[in-house]
Amino acid sequence: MAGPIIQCGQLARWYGSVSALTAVDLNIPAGITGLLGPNGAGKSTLLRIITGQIEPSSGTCTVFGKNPMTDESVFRDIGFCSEDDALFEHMTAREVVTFLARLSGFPRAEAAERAAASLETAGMTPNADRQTTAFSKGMRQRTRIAAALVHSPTLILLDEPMTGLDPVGRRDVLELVRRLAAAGTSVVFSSHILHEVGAVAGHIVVLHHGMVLAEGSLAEIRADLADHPFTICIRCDDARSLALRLGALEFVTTLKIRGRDSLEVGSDSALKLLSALPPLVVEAGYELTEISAPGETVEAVFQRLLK
Amino acid sequence: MAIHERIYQRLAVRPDKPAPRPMATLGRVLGQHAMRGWRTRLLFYGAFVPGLVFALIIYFLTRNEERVLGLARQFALTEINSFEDVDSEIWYRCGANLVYLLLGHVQVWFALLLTAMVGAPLVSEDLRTQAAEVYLARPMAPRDYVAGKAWVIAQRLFVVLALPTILVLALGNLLIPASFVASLPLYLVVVAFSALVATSNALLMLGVSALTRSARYATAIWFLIYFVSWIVSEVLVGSTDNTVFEFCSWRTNQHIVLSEMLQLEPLHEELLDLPSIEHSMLPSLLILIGCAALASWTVLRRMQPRKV
Amino acid sequence: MKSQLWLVALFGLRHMSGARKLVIAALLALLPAGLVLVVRWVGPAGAAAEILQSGVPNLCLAVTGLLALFLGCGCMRDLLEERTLGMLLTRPISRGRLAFGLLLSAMILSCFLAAFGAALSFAVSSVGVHADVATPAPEAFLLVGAILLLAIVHTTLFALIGLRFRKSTVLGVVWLFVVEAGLGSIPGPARILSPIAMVECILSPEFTTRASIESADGEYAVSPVTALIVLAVMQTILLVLHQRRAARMDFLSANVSADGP
Repeated sequence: MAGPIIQCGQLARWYGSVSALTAVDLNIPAGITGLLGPNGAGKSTLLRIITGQIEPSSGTCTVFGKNPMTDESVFRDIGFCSEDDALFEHMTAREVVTFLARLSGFPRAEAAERAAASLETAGMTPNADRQTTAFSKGMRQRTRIAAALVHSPTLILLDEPMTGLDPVGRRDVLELVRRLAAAGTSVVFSSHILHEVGAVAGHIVVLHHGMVLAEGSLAEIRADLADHPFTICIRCDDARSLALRLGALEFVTTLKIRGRDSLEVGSDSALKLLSALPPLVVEAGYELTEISAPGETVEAVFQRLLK
Repeated sequence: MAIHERIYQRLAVRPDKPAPRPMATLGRVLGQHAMRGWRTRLLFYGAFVPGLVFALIIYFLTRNEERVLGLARQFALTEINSFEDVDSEIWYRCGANLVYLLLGHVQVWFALLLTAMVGAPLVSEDLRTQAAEVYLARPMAPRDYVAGKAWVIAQRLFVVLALPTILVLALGNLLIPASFVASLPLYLVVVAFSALVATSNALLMLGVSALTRSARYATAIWFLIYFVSWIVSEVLVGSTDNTVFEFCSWRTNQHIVLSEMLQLEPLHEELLDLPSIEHSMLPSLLILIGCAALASWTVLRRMQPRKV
Repeated sequence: MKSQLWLVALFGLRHMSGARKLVIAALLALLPAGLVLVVRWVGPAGAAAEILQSGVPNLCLAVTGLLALFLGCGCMRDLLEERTLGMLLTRPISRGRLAFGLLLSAMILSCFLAAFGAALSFAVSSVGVHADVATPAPEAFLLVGAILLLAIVHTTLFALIGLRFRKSTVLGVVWLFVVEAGLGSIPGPARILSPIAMVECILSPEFTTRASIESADGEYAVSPVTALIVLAVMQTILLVLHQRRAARMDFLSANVSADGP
């Protein structure tokens, strides 16, 4: 893959005395990127700077090598769906999307065709000719997603795209993100719902208090945090015997035998435990059927990052 | 703490204490919130500057007896040679003209601007952010909501209108003690008129604010009502010589009430070159109260649950 | 690119015309005609002709100022407060062009409403049985033309105020009061800051305005041609400032709080 599509250097943004972003250095590659962070972490501010809607207080931000604040041509390649629950009133969904397609430079007929197609993609075709004032939150969100897709951008930025959607809608959006990525479109989306980010994003940026806590794939982030208290569940043919051997290791802190073939091992160093386990199993000739780390979800990683 | 949280906290019924009245709570908390902006504070405190100027003028005027007598001569329209010739009616006229000038021609402008600054967002912002529904989900009737919001504007308007005028009047009485007894009814007039303007302006502003979800448009509509009705009234009276069109103007109706309360006819006309008022106070009073009632009904109607 | 501008202007027109504010603006525009009707109905004979000469032009100028304030301040700020501006800002259109397109829509609407109101007040006075005024076509055209000029300048001015200040309506009213009503009435060079005073010079001596009254006293030294030049220069400066402001503006931060007028 070529270089990063979004580059932020020492990006900072203040709202009066409140710091929304602090010295953010980011390189977002092509593919699916998830911006993860609790409310108020600076995700929306970052996306608004990336889309040139607000100016950074200091630092630089380029998208496809262009400054979005001064070079509007970059928006031919960018589609943005904001988190604001707002749509132009007194228009139908089709009119909104068609208007935005025309503003992106498409002639009337092509804009209408594209609007119909993107409304279909967002699941809004049955309600396309209804006034937006009568829309539910989910319908407005779908319309905004359709508007972000209408000009076939190569980069789509979605700010909290799952907000207001029912479980089916959420699944549809995640599916859409996967489909877009498969078709070669890069997607950057923000969320504070961890499993949604973990489910689709190949690249994750964890933000907290306006700072980047971690960046990379979930595995990379986890590797960075490798040496931490860690618990694994092991299924093997002789759990009791394996427990005896593991109990001799100084970094193993807890051992729970759950039946004849199941064992839970706690350690104060994940790195040491994961290094010691394979030679020990091979040496004694155990038959391992399953190793799992139930606590090692994206939520747990996130919690550790916040600590 | 967010303003809604503060209101909820105060509205929360504690078993050991009686439940606070929602109207009072709303008025108190939103009142503090309304005065946070520096522009509003500047306008509120700036409204005392004319009173200060008037006070200084009165102070320097009363240091010279001849000037005081000259002024009394103008009000009395008769020959006055010494303070013995100045009776209580002349002192009343002096005070009444001072009140008419300060209250009716200076402080009302501050009240006009303050009504817009404080009142415009009160309902429109609630409609925009759907906070009205949150308020009414509490043990709070729509009339409490209207009264609480109106209180936010009215109490500030009352202070801006009444306080500087009363202080200036009191200073005049202090410097010329002979005028005190004659001026006593003026204090009542100032309080009554200030209360009337504060209440009617507050309720009308709330009605205007309930017409739109944008505070900016509420402000624009408020000024349109005030100025356009005034211009229309002036043009119609000038063109048709029919003074009944004076009732079209919100401002003129307030002036008619003040002028009638002070019983200024016809002295102020000659001294201050002000237009003569040919009507009694009652129609104007009814118009002001009627418009305020209509505006309150508008807000209450907007607060009703929408039929699907 | 030119089509993008008109697209935004048409969108702005549609956005404004769908809202309740258009009803209020239309009522305001119809006010002079309504007044003429009332005067014809209850006033003495010839009163309508008199009001057309003095009352209507002044009222039309005031109404145009208020209309421009009503529509100009909101042309950009409405979208900011509705939080829909981001949808337009993230399209391949420059901020200046976007702001100009929206200003154009406010301009078209205020010009149409103000000119329609002025023309209608002439029509109301000259049609029907016992019409007070015969056919005052040249005067009507002069008034409509002058009002169009004023609507353009004022809408640009208030759009600029709307871009720059959050409490734009209050500031707009202060402008109308201090500059138009106050400064515009005082003889002297500072008067050229008041667009209404300049338009009054153009209307003089056909209509009775502050300009015609004072020119009779020899105090009003601005000729109609000078007034036209002043208005043209003023409009150019306002447009340049508007474009510069729009290009540099941090729109969303300017709307962190939409809590006031």
